[in-house]
Amino acid sequence: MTEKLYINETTEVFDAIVVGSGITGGWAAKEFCERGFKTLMIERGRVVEHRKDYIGESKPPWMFENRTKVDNLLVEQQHSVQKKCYAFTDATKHFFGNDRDLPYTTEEGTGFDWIRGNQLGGKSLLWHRQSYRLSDYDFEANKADGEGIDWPIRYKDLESWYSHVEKHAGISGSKENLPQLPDSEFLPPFEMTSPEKFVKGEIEKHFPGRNLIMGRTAHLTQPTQLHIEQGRVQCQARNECQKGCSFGAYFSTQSSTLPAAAKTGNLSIAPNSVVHSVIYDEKTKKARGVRVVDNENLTTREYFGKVVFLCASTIGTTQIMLNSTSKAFPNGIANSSGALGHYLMDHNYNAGAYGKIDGFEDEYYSGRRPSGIYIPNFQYKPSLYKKGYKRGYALAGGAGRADWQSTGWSDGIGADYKNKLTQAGDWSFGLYAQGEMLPRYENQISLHANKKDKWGIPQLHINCKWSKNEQLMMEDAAETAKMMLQKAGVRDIQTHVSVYDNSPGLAIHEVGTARMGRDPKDSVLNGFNQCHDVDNLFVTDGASYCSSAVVNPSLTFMALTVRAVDYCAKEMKAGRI
Amino acid sequence: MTLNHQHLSADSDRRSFLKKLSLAVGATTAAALATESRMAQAFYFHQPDGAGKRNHALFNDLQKAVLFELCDAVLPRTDTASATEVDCHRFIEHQLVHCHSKQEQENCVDILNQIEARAQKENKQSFTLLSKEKQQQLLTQLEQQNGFSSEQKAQFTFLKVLLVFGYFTSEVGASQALNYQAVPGGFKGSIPYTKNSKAWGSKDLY
Repeated sequence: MTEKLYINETTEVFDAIVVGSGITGGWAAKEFCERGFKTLMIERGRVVEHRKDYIGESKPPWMFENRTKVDNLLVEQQHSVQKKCYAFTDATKHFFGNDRDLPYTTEEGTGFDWIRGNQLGGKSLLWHRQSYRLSDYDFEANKADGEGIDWPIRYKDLESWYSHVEKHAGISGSKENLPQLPDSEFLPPFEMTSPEKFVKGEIEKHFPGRNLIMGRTAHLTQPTQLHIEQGRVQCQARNECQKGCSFGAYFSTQSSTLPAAAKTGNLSIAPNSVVHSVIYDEKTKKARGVRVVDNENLTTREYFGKVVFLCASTIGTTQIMLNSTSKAFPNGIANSSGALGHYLMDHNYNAGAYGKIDGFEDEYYSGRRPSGIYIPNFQYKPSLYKKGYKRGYALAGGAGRADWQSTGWSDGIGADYKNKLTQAGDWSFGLYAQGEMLPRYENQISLHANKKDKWGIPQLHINCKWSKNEQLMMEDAAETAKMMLQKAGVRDIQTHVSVYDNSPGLAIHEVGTARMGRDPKDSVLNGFNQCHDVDNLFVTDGASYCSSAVVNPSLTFMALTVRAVDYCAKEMKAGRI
Repeated sequence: MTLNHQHLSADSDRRSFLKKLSLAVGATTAAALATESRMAQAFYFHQPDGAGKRNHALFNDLQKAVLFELCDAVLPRTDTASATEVDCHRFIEHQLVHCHSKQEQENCVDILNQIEARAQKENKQSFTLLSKEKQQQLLTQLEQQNGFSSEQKAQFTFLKVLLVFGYFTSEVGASQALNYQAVPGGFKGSIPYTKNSKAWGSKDLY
């Protein structure tokens, strides 16, 4: 990468402006650049260089003053929200937002934990890497049970684009031919442990229609020539991914899409550029570019382009749109429908069951697998719904042997206790629910009437909560997981339901708020992620979702993005944009 | 702060600690406990951090001495180092101050006082002067709630788990008491395991 890659002031009119550098922004930039479009990627945070800036990587716990825990004064002052994320440690905290500078409010009686990754690469550095295609059962769910509006696309619209991104990103997994979970272009799956193979056999025997498979994850279990050319090598099974991976073994902007985009010579990056709003031209009825506030010195500047792709994360993108007001759009750009900001969703990770399993005491495993086992949603159409609530959930989990982290809690003093802690203990097996959240009009993000952040941008106000549907689903999921484990011979099973304690947000799968749809009266985007009201403005991140579905969304963000770029590029060449 | 200043301050801390420790446990014991190499590592935890100055003195001298003895009673030297040989006593105080709540800090102070009070009551002697066996007996009684409340047991378990965390995240604990794989090279779902062989000391991110 050259110095020229990073720009600040410029008068150039780019072919394409991409706001955001995370999973969607990286893909949008790569696809435009490879089509010969001069592309500007705008990132609100600092530059993070692959390898060089992974400052927590390879450091063992004893190299951290607090053994990877984060100092509580620092947490209190700067990371009061981010601390709730499972991946927030002293080794990763520099990739999380600083809550002191990123305030937002929530409606009384509600809460929302907004996890931020404001740097080049965004949350692609921090993601959990689980990668699944949506199926037609997902695209048809809203239509089938009447919750939300119908997705304007179907599986066949995305199928080839899934293949396109999977070959480049590298997705490991096993072919299963399941109706509700289409197969990807796979690298070999990670191995299961013996208890996992055993439980798979028992569950599939006792519960027809429920399958236990290896989690599909964006890791190079066996890199192809294409991956080697990106400078990436095989996954070493450290499972310390969120520190950054110099092997480039998991997909991130830095490891995969950015080098491909930069190689074309068509990419420019404007780091430290907080997008304030989209500039709208009332005469041409087009977006002309974006207004930016400098992240560090708070000066303002503008960037211009022929098309603007918003890939700033679900909530970030909608915040920009709400703040882009004009005579034509007093309530936010491309918001003639009034749907902008509504139908916020997350996934509901708030139930589970685990217990002990006997019989594998002479076996262990080697390496730290960056994935778990996965039981795909088995309530994927109305005829399979449980009584009392709609939709379904997946169960993720796995088996492992106890070590000092759990045996340390047992009674014991002295040498015997110490020796016990140095050995592998009982096998345990857990299943944890990942539930769908219904699209509800009331779950809304809006601009605060008077509070602003340090860049002078109105703060967000979030009004979002679980409904009865999500609560009942978690109650059922805990009991169902328990029943499945019991049948599989797991003993001493404990369950938990935390949907009454945890607010939405922590699955970090926020989607919706600028949804796609066929009718401009009730949706913001058409079936190509193009704004109904402004034809050169696209939203390809999670904001475009019509329903949350059950599976992890990032792979679909990628596929939606590359499809939208392909469409946009053709429309531009045909002179229609 | 320059490197020299750090050394000076660590050195004066070290000397003052030795002096205080001597008062609590006697000069000979203190000298034996606080070998040069151990102290050099111990004061790593006293270096200033980025989050601002904090009051590091959570424990008084007697509590420090009780904690020191408690660490090795729970995790004594076996074929690998004891807890204090890898400075768990220092780590615990550091970690409580920097990563734990006021309530948790107070609970730890409280349970150390309770342990000392029990030793004085039963043995007419400081916990620090009891034999290792007597110390272990007393801590076992505490865990069995024999003359101790469930609340006191919970306080002790918290402290013990913090000690275990400190031990197995130390270099010796993670890589000598356990097997450490920095770069495993891949994942194997099944390898043979025989009883008494070591568990992995290398952990995931979380």
